[in-house]
Amino acid sequence: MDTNGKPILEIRDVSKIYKTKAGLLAGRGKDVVALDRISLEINKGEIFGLVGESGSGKTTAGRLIVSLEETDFGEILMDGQPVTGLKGKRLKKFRKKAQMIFQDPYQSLNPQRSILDTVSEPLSIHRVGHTSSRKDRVREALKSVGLSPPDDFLYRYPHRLSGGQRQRVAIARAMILDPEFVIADEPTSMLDASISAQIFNILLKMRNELNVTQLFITHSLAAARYLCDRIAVLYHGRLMELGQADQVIQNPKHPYTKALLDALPKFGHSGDRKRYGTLLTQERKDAQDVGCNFFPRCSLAQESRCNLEKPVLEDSGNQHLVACFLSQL
Amino acid sequence: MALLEVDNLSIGYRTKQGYLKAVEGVSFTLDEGQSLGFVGESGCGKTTIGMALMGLMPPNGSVGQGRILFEGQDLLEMTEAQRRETRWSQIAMIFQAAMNAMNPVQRVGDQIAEAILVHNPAVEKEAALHQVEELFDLVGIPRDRLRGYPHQYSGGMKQRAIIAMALACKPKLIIADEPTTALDVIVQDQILTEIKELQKEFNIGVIFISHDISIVADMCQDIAVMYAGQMVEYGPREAVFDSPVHPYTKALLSSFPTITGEKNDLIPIPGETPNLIHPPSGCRFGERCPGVSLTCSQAPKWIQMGPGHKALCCHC
Repeated sequence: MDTNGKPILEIRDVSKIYKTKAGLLAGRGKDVVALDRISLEINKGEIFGLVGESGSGKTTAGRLIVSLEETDFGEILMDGQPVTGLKGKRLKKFRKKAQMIFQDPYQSLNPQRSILDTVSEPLSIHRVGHTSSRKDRVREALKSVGLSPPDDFLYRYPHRLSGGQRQRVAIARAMILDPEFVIADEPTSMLDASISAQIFNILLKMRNELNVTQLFITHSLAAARYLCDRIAVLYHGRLMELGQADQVIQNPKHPYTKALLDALPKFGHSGDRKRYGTLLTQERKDAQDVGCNFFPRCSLAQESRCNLEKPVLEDSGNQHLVACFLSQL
Repeated sequence: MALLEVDNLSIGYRTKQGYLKAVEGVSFTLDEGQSLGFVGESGCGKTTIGMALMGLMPPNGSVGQGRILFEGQDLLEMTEAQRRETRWSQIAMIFQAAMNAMNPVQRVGDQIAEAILVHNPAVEKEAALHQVEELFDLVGIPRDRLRGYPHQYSGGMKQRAIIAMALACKPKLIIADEPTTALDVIVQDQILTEIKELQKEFNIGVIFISHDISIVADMCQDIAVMYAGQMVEYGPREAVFDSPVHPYTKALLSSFPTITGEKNDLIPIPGETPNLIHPPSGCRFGERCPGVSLTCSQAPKWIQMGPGHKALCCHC
């Protein structure tokens, strides 16, 4: 699959820290490091998967990229231009290029606006076209996400749509300005499997027919395998592994990735799936902040190295990157 | 005698638009220590079945017909007081919302002890708390968390506490409705493994309800596939998972992306689930079925496919 090869998005050494204020009864406020020195590049035309569990920082990463929040360290560049610190006209221009689809289809649409108003809103904000041409564009957008005939949907309100239909409206709205880059943050985690399949196929169509580059944020390795060209595995704010999706899943190198694969329900495929056994049943009590984030739960970890330093992503061959001292032996 | 025997159960909800036939003509049995999984998508009726078994239907829900025989006694013929007695002590439930249903201003240990005391009034509070300690050991919660409050527990730990509460009165049957859906993959695996071990150790019958067929196949010996209020396929997991017969089961299996094996196209199911206030008279899956024909306008019958394996289809 031709990804055009050039990076459209560059994330360089990005960190995001949330400071919690000291409460009345809690002691001093403790900082939460949501992202810790993340670096990666996404190539034009690829679907890149960011895989992690809750608390991994994956949603924060998405929000930083579309400038919904500011980084604390590092920089994010899209098409070579910094994304951080954008304001006013430049921010508005950026919004035409980069859009986001959120997890909860029941929260992301304004219940008091018709579908026509919701999907045409970006057009009116950016003063594209006029009322009648906008309606036509909305019709096209609705058709492209499978809401046909579009006239059946224009004047409906969200409460009359199912979760899957709402999510398709959200995609139509995200796509109406022909963005180059779309972030989908767990777009199907609240939908049934057969509906999710429809959404996945729409995302694939966006890439195949319109060359839209995508960042797909998910907790599901299976979904990432289906959709993505390359994936990165995030754990407690740090990148653990990054590479071709099939490579990372069939030949995982990081103990955390292996633990994720081990945790998936096995029936029917137990013959195929190896049991890696990298997860400790009891967490180690002596973990230090300066050590590897996964040290407390890693059965392979060695005190002498893994508890004293955080490993960085290194190429283990074939552009398959791992942040682990042991895989580098 | 089977532990649980459900016979031709139909349940509906009174709504503003009319009477919604949520469950229609469902029958199954469960033996002691056996596990049965109900799998299906939103609105298929699987949760309604769980609620009816527990006697926790909402005010607008009612059983239209059928029997629920628990150890030979029809639960639907019992008084509310009798049902309350069976609830928790004989039949317990673990459900997704349970994590948030705990009393936020009462210590977790006390809440579980209370569940024990309600059904065993002769037991002293000290003894009950001691039992809770043992339950915590069983489900993997450190004993020092007994005096903690729900908000101090992580998602996984809360769910373990719910399991402890379900086990507190040593029930014969546990109904688990999406017990791990809101949890991370690794925690989910730990919880599911624990449920499996506890089930074996105490010979508890389990009804496991989920939208995720691979979890159900992992947890249960038998699988029942639900669509639009009806059971459309039933059989041992090997049969249903590896050789599905009903077009909906096949379609459901093809909508899940997999980690291993060939990377096949995900085939979404076109159309929407039928209106259950005015359900179609023939096969409920007909309008979305790739193999639909004229015969499908008749009510489908059960076709036996193999030992214990059957499908509700006009021409499977």
